[in-house]
Order: sequence, then structure tokens, then C-alpha cells
Amino acid sequence: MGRFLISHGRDVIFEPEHGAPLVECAIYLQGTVLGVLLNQRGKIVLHASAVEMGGKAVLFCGPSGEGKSTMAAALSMRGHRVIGDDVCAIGFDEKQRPVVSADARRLKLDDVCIDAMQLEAQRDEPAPGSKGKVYVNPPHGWNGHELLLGAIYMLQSGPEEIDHITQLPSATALRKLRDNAHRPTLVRRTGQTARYFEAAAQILRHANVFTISRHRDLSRLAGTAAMLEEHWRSIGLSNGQTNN
Amino acid sequence: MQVQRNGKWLSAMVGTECVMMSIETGNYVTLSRVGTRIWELIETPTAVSDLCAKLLEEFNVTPEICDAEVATFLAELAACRAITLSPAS
Repeated sequence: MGRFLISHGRDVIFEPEHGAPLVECAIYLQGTVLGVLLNQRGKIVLHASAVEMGGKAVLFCGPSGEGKSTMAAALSMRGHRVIGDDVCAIGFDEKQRPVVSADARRLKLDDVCIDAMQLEAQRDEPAPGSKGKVYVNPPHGWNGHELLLGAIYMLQSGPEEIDHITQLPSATALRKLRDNAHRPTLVRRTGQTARYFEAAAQILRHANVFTISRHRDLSRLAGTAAMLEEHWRSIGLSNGQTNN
Repeated sequence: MQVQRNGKWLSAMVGTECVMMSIETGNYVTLSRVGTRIWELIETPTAVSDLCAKLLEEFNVTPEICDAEVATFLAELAACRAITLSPAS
């Protein structure tokens, strides 16, 4: 595709190969290159979507196709502001608390999701290179300052009759955070394993990590979102309390 | 019997637990307060009998229970390839 030079967490120079489609370069710039740039800034970059709740950021991690953007869209429909989609950068404030920056992105959803959630009016242009998905402007977006991290959810789907949320023990949570790095192989090959491990431990000192297991039937999505809101109340997130 | 740490491990305290990750294998191990103390005590190769003697000084436990629980714990660490056990030299 081309050659990319990323330096000082600020500059990107790229040289496309002759004939390389520029749209492919743009996708690479917005994904892997942006991830490397954020790593150079000392951020921890997770493959996650994020919404605002009670003045804090709630993250949803999972492999591609697991429903990160769909979950963010469903919560946005209920008034929660979308902080980011796909590439989620976590830094640390002066008290070493994890904070999340807004990425001002649009959500990428497929037609089935858009129809099911009646988001037609929010539909924007097709998202290049994403298998028929289109950009959707979230009904509520967050473009403000950094937010403290409140909780992280690992999305998993199956034939569940009843959706459920489970808090992960420390070792499992750390492993899941490692596995959900934006580009895990790049983290390892660029010698950042120790930095990510320390940062993941610091994240865990301030925010719990949960799995949310649910059936992928879109007709049940609103119920899953309601269960999440109830969970936030139970962990004190809805009124701004947490263990930060 | 001699116990020796094996491989390179990253470690971090989370609450009252110590979580460790092997750099070579990517495996994770969680240590309790006592387990964390044992890990500290075997920073250099140590005889298991010396380790138990040290733990008897520090914790309120009988020698029989200490020996048995240390043996179980070290077997678990060995299964995770966090330590190696060898005959005393």
C-alpha cells in the first residue's frame, strides 16, 4: 500500500505505492497509523467504542463484528453521548486516573442495524472498506474534554436466554485488556508489552472490567441497554460515584 | 529441594492481589498476600526448607500445614512454568 513514517506523536508522512487506491491509504491512516500515533503520545489504545454515563466514560471492547458500534448506537438512542468508536485512547491524569478522549467519530453501522434502530435520519455517507457499513451520526455525541474512565465491558454473544453481566477477576481482566489492544501484535513487536501491562493494572485500580453476555437479536438490544443502565446504577456510575 | 524463579515476569498489585504476566508465554498468575511474600522470598534460588522456616517466622501457621501448603503452591507455580524445582545442591 505504501510507506508510513510516524514521529513524535504528531507527524505522519506517507508515500503510497504507485497505483495504490488512496481510499485504502485513508482507511489505514485512520486505523493503524492513528493507533501508532496515539501510542507515541503515551496512550493506551483499545479496540473499543465508548459512551458517556454520569460524567464518566464507559467502554465496550470486542472483536470486529461483535457489536461495539451497535451497542454505542443503542445507548445513544437512550440519551447517552457517544465518545468514540473503534479506536479508544486512554491516558492518565495528574492523579494517575485513567481518562478517555473523545474521537469525534461517526458510528459505522450496517443497514439492518440502522433499520432496527430507526436511525435512517442519522445516516451519512458509506464507510469505505467496511463491508457495506455506512457512517451514522450518533443522536447524541460527546466532543468535550477528557472523561474519567468509569467501567469497561467485554462484549460476547451466544445463545443466552437471559443477558448477564459478570465482573472479571484481576488476571482475566488484564488479559482481556491486553487482547483488546487496538493492534496487539504491534504492541508486542514495538516493545510496549510492559507499558501496556502496567497501564492495564492502573486502569483496573480505578475501573472494573466486566463481560456482558447477550443474545445478538437486535430486537433485544433495548433490553440489553436497559440492563446496562441498571448495572450502572448498582455500581454507582449513574450518579457520578465510582471508586476513582 | 531447591526452588528458583523461571523466566521473565511482569507484576503489578491490584487491590490485595499481585497479578503477574509471563513475558515469554503471556500466561497470567494471581498471587494472594502469602503467595506474593513467597514470590519475594524466592527472588534468588532458595531451599524449600529455608523458605518454610522463613514463613513460620512471619505467619501464624503450624509447620505441617506450612509444608503442605507451600508444596501445593509451588506445584501450581511450577505448572505455570513460573518456577523450577530441583534437588538441593
